[in-house]
Amino acid sequence: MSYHSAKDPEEELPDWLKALRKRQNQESPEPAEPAPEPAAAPDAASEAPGEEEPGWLQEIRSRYGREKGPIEEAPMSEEPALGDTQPHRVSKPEGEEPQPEKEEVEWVPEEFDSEGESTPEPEALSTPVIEEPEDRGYTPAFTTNEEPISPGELPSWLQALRPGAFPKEDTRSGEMLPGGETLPGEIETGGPLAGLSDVLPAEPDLGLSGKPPVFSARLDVTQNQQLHAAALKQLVDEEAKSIEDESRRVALPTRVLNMVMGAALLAAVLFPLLTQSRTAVRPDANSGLFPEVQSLHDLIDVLPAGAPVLVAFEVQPATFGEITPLATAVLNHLLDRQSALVFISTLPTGPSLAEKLLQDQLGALPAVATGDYVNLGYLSGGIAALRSFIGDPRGVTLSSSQADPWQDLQALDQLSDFALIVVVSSGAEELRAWIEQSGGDLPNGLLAVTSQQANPLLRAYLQTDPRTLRGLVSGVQGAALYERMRAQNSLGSSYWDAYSYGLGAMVLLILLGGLYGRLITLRPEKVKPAGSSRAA
Amino acid sequence: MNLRIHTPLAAAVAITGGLLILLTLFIPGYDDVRTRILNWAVLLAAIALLIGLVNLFAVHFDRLRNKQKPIYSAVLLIALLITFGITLWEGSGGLIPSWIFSNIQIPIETSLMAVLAVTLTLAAARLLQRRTDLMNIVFVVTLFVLLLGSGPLFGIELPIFTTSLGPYITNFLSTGAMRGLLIGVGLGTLLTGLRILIGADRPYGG
Repeated sequence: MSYHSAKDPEEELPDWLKALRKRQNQESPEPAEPAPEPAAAPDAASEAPGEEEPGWLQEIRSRYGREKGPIEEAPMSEEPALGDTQPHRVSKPEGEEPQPEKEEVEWVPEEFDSEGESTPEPEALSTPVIEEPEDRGYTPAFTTNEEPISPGELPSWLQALRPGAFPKEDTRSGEMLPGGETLPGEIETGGPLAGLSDVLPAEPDLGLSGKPPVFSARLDVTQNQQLHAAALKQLVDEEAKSIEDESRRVALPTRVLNMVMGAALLAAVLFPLLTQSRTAVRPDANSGLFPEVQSLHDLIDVLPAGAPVLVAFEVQPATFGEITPLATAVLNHLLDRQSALVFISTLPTGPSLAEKLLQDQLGALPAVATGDYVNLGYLSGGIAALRSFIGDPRGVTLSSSQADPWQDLQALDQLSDFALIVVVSSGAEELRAWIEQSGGDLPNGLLAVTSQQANPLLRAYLQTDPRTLRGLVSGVQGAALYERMRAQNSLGSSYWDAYSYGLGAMVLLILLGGLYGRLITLRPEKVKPAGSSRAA
Repeated sequence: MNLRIHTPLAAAVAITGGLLILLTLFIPGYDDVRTRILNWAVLLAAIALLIGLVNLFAVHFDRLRNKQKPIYSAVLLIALLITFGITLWEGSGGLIPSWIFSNIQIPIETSLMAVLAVTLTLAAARLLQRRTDLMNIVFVVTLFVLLLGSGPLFGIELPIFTTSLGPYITNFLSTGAMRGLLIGVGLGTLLTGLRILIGADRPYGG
């Protein structure tokens, strides 16, 4: 079935419609002129409805013309029932100048002015006219021909409630009654409620007018507070000024001084190393100043041959140079006692540094040369892993280069099975973790071989009861002392001279540098010529 | 996971784990439980290290892509990839990883420590020219006593410093101060542990 039939649609019309069309064609022949523009058609129809209407429409209009005529003739204001609902007309205030005529724009409605705001004419506001469409297509519900509806009689109590029936007392507070506000009984003169009386004000506060209170900007401060504020300001200003002056004045001398001091320190340290000088007096163990070193030496010295010793090598690469002579002296002593060394570390760099130390410094010893030691590797996990290792050494996970590091340690199940535990540490924190986590689990306590920077903190553990730290040796001084106790001349002795010369150079540089700086600071500033600037 | 669920769950896990470890320390016979839980923590720490490595790589890769000091980031990424790859292939005890460790990492860190010694010497020299108030004078005098007492100067020993003043400061003043510091650290650690156990502190988030 095709919707596009080739037949003429006129042929499919019913007979009654064909007859109606035929009669319309006879009564109103088609105009010769072309059809007007679509946009102008409504206007033309509204201006001359009888001229261009088709015949059938004129017939309908003539049929219902009886109802249409009176509606157009009767104005809305004459209807008594609706007249009361219209707002009151507001008279224009006297003295108000008539508004100038506005320039009309075709596309802008008359209700809008040129600024785009709705400013209806006063006449239109006061008496809005409801325009009836001329050709409405329905039958109105009320016509003027019908009997008018008589107004009902209101009871007296309802009439008393009507606004404006009698003057009422104003019950609003004074805050709601600013100067120019409408009083009860007055008629609203503007806005959508223009013409109505007894309306509530929309925004009472908008009508408020008056000068805002003026607050003083001065702070109520006492004289003492002002003095403190002035002192603080002077302090801040002096700080900024001194930094600026010093950076400008001593920039070049400081740079030169830094280079000179660095070179002097380097020369002082290198000289005894290059000359193999051994002139510095080594510390004496018999002086009674180093009981902790003597204790460590004695504990190692009584070890039986083949005793297992755990060495925790908690060393960072930065302090490896300082640790090397000290650890070398202690490990050499342990290997001389034919101890079975077992290395472990909670630092990632520990096992590699231990291996490097053994191969570089102690590689000539038979135990190291034959690999008669065990490196358990890196124990990851920090303090938690350390606690776990102390509780169950075989139960922890270790990252070791050896396949089964515990293969040669069948007799060692607990940490207390080790004859000694020596912690070689760069700082105090690693050794403190060992001391605190081991607690009373170690009957023989710990021995510490540390950097000099850890010595002050670890000394506090030397006098505990029971003693958890049973021996301590630290720094280059401890290395030189330990070698002297063992009647050896190794790295500790050669480093001791370099340490001595570097120490002397450091003291001299601090004194001379400080004196030089004081002289520069006390030097009077040069008076600048007038007109010169910093940029110049 | 929703944050409302995540926060109480994390707090419950942390508090339960802490209480369990604490109880195993007081009640004998539960060492296996403690060791097992601590091994879990060790594994988590290892995974956290790996995550940190990935984060480091991502941060510097973004800097390289955004051209924020790209040279440093490029050097870091190349060194990281090479070292990581070779160490994975040869192991940490291999020839090339050992060479990298001995000839790059150790000299660099040792040099930084040496620079620190020079910098501290310069700072001490400047301290004399900056201010001369009471505390600075006390600091400088203590510094000189300790330096002179820690060894001979140019091979010459000053007995009054090495046998009397230096050991006095080290064994009495310094040790007393460090004991007070350690007691404070111990009390702070105890309080922090208790706050975590009761849920007042949640360092794990929430």
